[in-house]
Amino acid sequence: MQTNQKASQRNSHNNSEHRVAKQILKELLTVCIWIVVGALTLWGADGFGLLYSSSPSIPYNVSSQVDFPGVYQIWQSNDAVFVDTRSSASFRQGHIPGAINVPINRVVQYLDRLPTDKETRLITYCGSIACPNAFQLMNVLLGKGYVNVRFFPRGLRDWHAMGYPIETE
Amino acid sequence: MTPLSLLITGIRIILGFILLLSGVAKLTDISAFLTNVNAYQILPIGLVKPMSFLLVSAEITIGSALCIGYFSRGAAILSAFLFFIFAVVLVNVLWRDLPIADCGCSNFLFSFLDVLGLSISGIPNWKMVFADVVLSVTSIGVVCSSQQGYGLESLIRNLQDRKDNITDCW
Repeated sequence: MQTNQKASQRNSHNNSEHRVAKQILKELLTVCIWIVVGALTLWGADGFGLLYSSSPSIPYNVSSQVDFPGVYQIWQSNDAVFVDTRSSASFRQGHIPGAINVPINRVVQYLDRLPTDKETRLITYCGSIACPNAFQLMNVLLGKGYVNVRFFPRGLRDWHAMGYPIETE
Repeated sequence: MTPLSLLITGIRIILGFILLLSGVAKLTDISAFLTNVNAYQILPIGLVKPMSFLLVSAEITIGSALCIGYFSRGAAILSAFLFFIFAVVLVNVLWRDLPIADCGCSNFLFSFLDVLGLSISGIPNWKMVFADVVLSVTSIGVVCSSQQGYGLESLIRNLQDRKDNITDCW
């Protein structure tokens, strides 16, 4: 008799736990669905340009970029300092002539290589258009007080592909 | 009304507000948030926007659910997961020594800790990781607590029970 009572108590306890777990899972799935619905709404709002200043997105903000042929003309006229964001090893293998190397992961150590005049025109670049480091460094330099910084999104690969000179060390 | 229920309700609402306000702040300056996500260099550029939207939506949805106390256990599990992900991302950034000026992760708790002189906001630091881990563990505590506190869910349940009782009497 007692064994039966214990078994029945255990069963009811297990059922109750099972019910709670099921309820939590249901809640979890419902919240997940709402999150996805919210994200899709934001995506739609962005597509219609309803989100504040999200279009065009900052990484491709035209005013902060410099592209061909302007970049070559700037280099020819020696009008700006080019800043290579790649590693020192890659820099030694080849870079835009006259560029200085400030690897993105060692900005603090290499910052003293940059001109002290904060008004100097700086152009950051990286290996290729797929690399976000030029944009990152541009933001870091703007944060450090340099007022005239832009980035060259196409990078060294396209510079080389255009037949422009490369300097090696 | 037990002290534990009140405590759980308080914690749940604070967690909810942290997430909700943080999500709304990101939504009002979405391009700055996209820049911050991009600066972490974890996601490929094509995924920055979709993941940012998912994160903003998650913060607002989970925050609202925790604040009003509806689907709160499910929301608390996701909140624990979210804070854990934040902590992992911050550890990754600190490990790689990335030059990030603004973590894009500030919330009113961090602002409050700043006022107390702990200077936790801005550049990613280990204090942020610790705070995120604490918030993640607190969320787990809300899920595992035997009491679920007060909110819309308990209100609906009480009304339902009362209705059942009246029906039983008749």
